Amino acid sequence: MKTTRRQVLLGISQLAAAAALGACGRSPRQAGASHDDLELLASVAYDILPYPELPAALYVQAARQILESGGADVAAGLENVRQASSGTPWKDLEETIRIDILKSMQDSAFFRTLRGTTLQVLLRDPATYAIVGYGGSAMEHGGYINRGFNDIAWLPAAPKN
Amino acid sequence: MPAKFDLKDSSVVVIVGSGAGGGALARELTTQGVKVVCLEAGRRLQLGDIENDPPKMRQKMGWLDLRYGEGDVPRINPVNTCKTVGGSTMHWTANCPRFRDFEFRALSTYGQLPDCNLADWPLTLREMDPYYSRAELMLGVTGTHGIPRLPESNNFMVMAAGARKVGYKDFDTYNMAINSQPRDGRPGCLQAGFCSSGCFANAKWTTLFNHIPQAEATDYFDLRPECMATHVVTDDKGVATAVRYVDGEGTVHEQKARVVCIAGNTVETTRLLLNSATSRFPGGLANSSDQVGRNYMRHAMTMTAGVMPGEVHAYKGTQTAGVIRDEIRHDPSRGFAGGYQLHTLSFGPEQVANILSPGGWGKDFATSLRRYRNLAFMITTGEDPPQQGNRITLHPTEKDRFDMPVAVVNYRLHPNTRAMIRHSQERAAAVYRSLGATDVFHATEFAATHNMGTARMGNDAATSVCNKWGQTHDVRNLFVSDGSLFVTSACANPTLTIISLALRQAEHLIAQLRSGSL
Repeated sequence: MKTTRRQVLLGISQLAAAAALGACGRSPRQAGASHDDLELLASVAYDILPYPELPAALYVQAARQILESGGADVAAGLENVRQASSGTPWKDLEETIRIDILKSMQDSAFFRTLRGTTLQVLLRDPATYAIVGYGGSAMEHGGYINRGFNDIAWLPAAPKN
Repeated sequence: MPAKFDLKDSSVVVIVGSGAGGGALARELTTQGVKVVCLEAGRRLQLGDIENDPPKMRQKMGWLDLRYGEGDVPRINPVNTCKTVGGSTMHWTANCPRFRDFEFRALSTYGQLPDCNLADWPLTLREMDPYYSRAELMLGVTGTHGIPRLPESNNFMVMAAGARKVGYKDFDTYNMAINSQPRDGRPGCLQAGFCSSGCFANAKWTTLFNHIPQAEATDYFDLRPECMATHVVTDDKGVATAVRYVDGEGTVHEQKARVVCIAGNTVETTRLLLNSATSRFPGGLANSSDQVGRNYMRHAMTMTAGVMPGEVHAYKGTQTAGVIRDEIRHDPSRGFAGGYQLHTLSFGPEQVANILSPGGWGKDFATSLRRYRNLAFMITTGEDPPQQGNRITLHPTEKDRFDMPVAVVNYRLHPNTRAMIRHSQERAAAVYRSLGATDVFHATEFAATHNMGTARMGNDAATSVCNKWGQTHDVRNLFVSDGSLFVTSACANPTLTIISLALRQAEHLIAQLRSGSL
């Protein structure tokens, strides 16, 4: 069955809730904030690099890293996103509205962190390699010398000399 | 076995840097019985430290200290060099072209270009030939001296098929310091890619695993990793007497020296010379010509990526998998002076996302990355003329943790370089389009890995920093031993020429030491 955005966002929501439960040792305010922020950031990260095939956990991981980098930019950026969406949960916003909101902030320091971290987490993960067609680290497999470094078959044949 | 020389031993040659120039020089001197202390700012990695992980390896061996850029370069860290034993031979993709004859005679061949400082080299290809030959044999360069070439990879075969279609004649898997078969105690290449993150197989030549251990096998080599040189100390007669440095614990030392050779890669070599100013040398050491730091050259560089009609998987195999040499010539009818080479390179998906679509995001962006598997890549490396205003200076106020002023790299693209880049982009695009590429992209914003020219050689002390042996005109026992010496950049990757110059310099240095003139 083809995975959809909705399923990824549902996964994100469940993971964020689980994270909030895991954080119950901390003060309620901190845990609550981190749950909402985590879900919002992960959902926004999905719109930065939307691959419905990817596990929701990767987007949550990106969101967690952004929160942990924790500058004032991030707090202010989240506040801006919430204001721009007038309280409607990100997952329920129309695509055009989501894109417009992100476009309006794409020159901000917050957006650069958001984009940079999302790309870093996703594009360094083997789950994404399959999507883009990349092999990743080759040393544990003895390189590519016996794994297709010269297997191209669609080129016009070279003339024989 | 490795030696340990006393700080007060003033009979040693101090070499700053253990990369291509410093490592080659150290091996030459020590194997001929000259005592060498080598100060290397970075730490020493073992083969087991190398991973196929570019961001991690950059943390392990990259030069991460702050540098500023001005002009047509990134504002922060405008150059990409290494801080590790082995220097940039850890990072290089091991391309080993020689300069062409006309490239040693740029001024005579091209005439002076507007706002440029072109000059002929004080030596010729004929004089360099024996040193190039020795260097090629040392490094085991494929396609030279009967050493077999590397096999053809997918990325190369795409470029070659396109080259054939557009009428190019001179293309092959290049001259590489990567073993095509076991040689010199190192294995043949496993085509893993990631050459610029260090070669885990040790098929790629580096000073770390070749010249450094060869020097250590003598009793004359004292390598000091994690030691940052901050000053060349001179006496009131204007003779270099010692090098001051900070060790890994932050302790300052002074190593006495008979001769000092600086091979810190252009930015650091310049910074050390300028930071060693005294009342006798107020503008910086060896800078009576006011040329130290000027004439800074990179290469005309641009990347072309073609979205091919079939899968390529360009990341499989050596990052440089082959070259087209047809554009390496001086032909003013193309609208610029000097030549360029086209050679393949490959990038991982994260680099591609940032190079081809800086700031990109969203559905279309995600969709375009799905075509990564179909991308073929090549890069232009072209001659970049020297300009007085392209210059490395010291920041007036900002200092680093060694209390050294931060380097500022000021670089503007010359119109000749812009014209060359445009021409090469059209030619590279034609190569891919001839095979039915559905889209072609270019990118030009790179941190430079080829840094040259800031202590240029010449016969006239008024217009150059070093003589034709790399010995500074102003301080007779001070040498420069890296790409800073280059008078012009040619379109060749600089390492083979840096090593050849170091071999030549070593001969001269040893002769002077033996005759007692140093």
